[in-house]
Amino acid sequence: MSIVLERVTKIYGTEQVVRDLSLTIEPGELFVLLGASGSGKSTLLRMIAGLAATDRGSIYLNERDVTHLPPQKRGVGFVFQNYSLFQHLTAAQNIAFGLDVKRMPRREKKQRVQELLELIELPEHGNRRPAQLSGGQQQRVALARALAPKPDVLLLDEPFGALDVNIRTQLRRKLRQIQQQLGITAILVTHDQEEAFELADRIGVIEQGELLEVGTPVQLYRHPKEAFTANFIGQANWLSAQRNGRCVYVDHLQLPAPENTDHLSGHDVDLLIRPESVVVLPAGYDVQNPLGQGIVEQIEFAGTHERVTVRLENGTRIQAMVSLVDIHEYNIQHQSRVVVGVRDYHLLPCRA
Amino acid sequence: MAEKRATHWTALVLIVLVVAYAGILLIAPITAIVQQAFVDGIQPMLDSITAPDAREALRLTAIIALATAAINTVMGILVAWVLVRYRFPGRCFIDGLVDLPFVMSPVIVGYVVIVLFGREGWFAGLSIAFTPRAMLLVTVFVSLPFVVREVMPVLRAMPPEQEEAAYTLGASRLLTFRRIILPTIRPAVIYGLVLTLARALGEFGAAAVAGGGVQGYTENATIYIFRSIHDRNDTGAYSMAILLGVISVAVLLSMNILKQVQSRRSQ
Repeated sequence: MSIVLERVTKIYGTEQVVRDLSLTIEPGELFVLLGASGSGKSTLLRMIAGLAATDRGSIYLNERDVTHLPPQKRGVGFVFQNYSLFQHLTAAQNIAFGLDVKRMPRREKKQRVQELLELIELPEHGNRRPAQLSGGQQQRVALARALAPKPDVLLLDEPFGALDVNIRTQLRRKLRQIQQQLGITAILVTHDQEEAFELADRIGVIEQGELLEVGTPVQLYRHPKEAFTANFIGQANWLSAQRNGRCVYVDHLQLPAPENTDHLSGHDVDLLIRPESVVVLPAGYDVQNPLGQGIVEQIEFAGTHERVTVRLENGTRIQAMVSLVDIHEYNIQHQSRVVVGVRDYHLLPCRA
Repeated sequence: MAEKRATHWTALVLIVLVVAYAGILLIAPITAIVQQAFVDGIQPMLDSITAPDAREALRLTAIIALATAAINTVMGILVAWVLVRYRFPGRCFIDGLVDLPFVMSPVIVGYVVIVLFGREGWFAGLSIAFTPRAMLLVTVFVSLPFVVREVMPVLRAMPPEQEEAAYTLGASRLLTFRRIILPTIRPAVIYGLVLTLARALGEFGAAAVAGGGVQGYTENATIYIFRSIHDRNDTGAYSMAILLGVISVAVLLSMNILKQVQSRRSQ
C-alpha cells in the first residue's frame, strides 16, 4: 500500500509546523522520518494517522484520499513511544481490541491473537497485564495490537525511545523482520540516525516542517545534498574550497574533483570529509590526497576506533576515526606530529 | 540511643493521643447509642422502626439517596469530563463553583430552594418547594462535588495516547469511552459514589428546610430522628440512628470490597 502526501501543511497558531510537504512512499517500504525534536516529524505522522487535522494539502493511502477521514476509517496501525497499552486489559485483550471493534468471531479472534503473540515471541504472556511486562515486552504487545486488524500501513512514533539500548537494538531487528515478513508499508519517526540507518529502506530528513532530502541511508551519508543532512547524519569535517577545472582547491592544496560535480565548476564549495575517510599517519609517511601536517590535539576512545583531533599547521582542526590497530602500529599519541590525508570527500554548493 | 528512646516515647504518646481521640469522638457515641437503644430489649426497637412514619421516612431516605447517587454519578462524570477536556470561557469559574456545596451551609441551600421555588419565587409555578422533589434537588446539590472531584484528577492524568490508540484501532468515541476511559476512572467513580451515598443518607439541614419536614410526606430518616428526640421518643431516635449508621457502614464496606475486587482483577 502506497502513501502519498501532496503539499500537506499543518498550522498551530501562526506557526507552520509542517510546510507544503510532498512525499511518496512505495508499497512495502520502511520509510524513516529523521529529524530533531520539534522538527514536525511526529505531527506529520499524526496527520497521516488522522490524529491531527491536515490544514492544507492531501493524503492518499493506497490511492484513496483520506485527508478528511477520521482515524477510525484510515486503516492505519499506530505505535506510540510510551506503549500506551490499555492498563486494565491483559496483553491478549489489548491485541484483541481492534478485532473486537470489527466484531470478529470469538474463535477466529483467539487464533489471530495467538498468532500475533507468537509473532512477537511472547506466546505465554497473553494473560499478563501491562504492569507485569517489561518496557520491551509492552512495546512488542503494542506492535501486535497495531498489527492485529491487518492495517494497510504501520506508523511508529519513536517506538524505541523509552527503552534501554540493548533492548532497542533487539527490537529494531525484530521490527524489521516482522515488517519485511508481512510486507507492510511502514513509516517510523525517530531522531536517532543510527536507528534510521539500521531500519530504513529510505530516510527523509525533516527540519522545521520541511522535507530537506530523501534518499537511501548510503546516499544520504555519502552524497548528502544539504549541509544540514551531512551534519545531522554522522560527523563531518567541513573545509572551504573552490571547484575549478578538474580539481578542487583547498587553500594552496589541490585535490582531484569528484565525479559528477562539473556543475559546481567555478564556484566556491564546501568540502565534506567524514572522519572515517581521514588518514592519520606519523609525519614523513606518504599519504593519498594530503591535507598537510599537524599535531594530535586530542584522542578519545570510541569503542572500535579512537577519535583523533589533529590541528593542522594552518590552524584547521580535522577529526579522524583511526582504528586501534593503526594507533598502536604507528604509535599515534597526544602531541604526535602527523600527516593527514583524505580517502574520500564530497562537495556541496557553498552555503550562502 | 537517647534519641531513639525519645522517638519511642513520642510515638507512644501520639498513639495514645490518637486512640483516645478516636475513642471519644467515634466509639463513645456509638457505644452510647447502641447501649441506650437496647435498654428495653430488641422488641421495642423493631416496633418503632416498623411503625408507618418510620417506614415512610426510611423509604424517602432510600429513594432520595439512590436517585442522588444515580444523578450525581452520571452528572459528576459529565462535569469532570467537560472541565478536564474542554477549554471554554468561564471554565475556571465553574471549576471553582463545583466546591461551593462543600463550604455552603446546607440550611442556606435549603433556604435558596424555598426562595426560588416558593410561593413568591421565580419558579413558583413548578411547585417544588416543600415537596420530596425539593429534598432531592438539595441533596443532589450538596453531594455534587464528590464524584467530580474524585474523577477529575484521574481523567487529567490519563494520557491522550490511550484514546488515540483506540481510535486508530477503529473504535468510535463512544466505544472508546465505554471500553477504555470508563474502566480507568471506575475506582474513582466508585469512591465518589460512596461519598455521595453517605452524604445523601445523612443529609438533614438542607432537606429539612427545603422539604419542610412534613411527617409521612417530606420527613426523611434524619428528620425523623430529630422529631423523635423532640417528642421524647428515645427508642425511636436510637433505633433509627442505629439503622442509619449500619446502612452507612454497610455501604462503605461493600464499596471497599468492590474496590478491592476490582483492583485485584486489574493486577
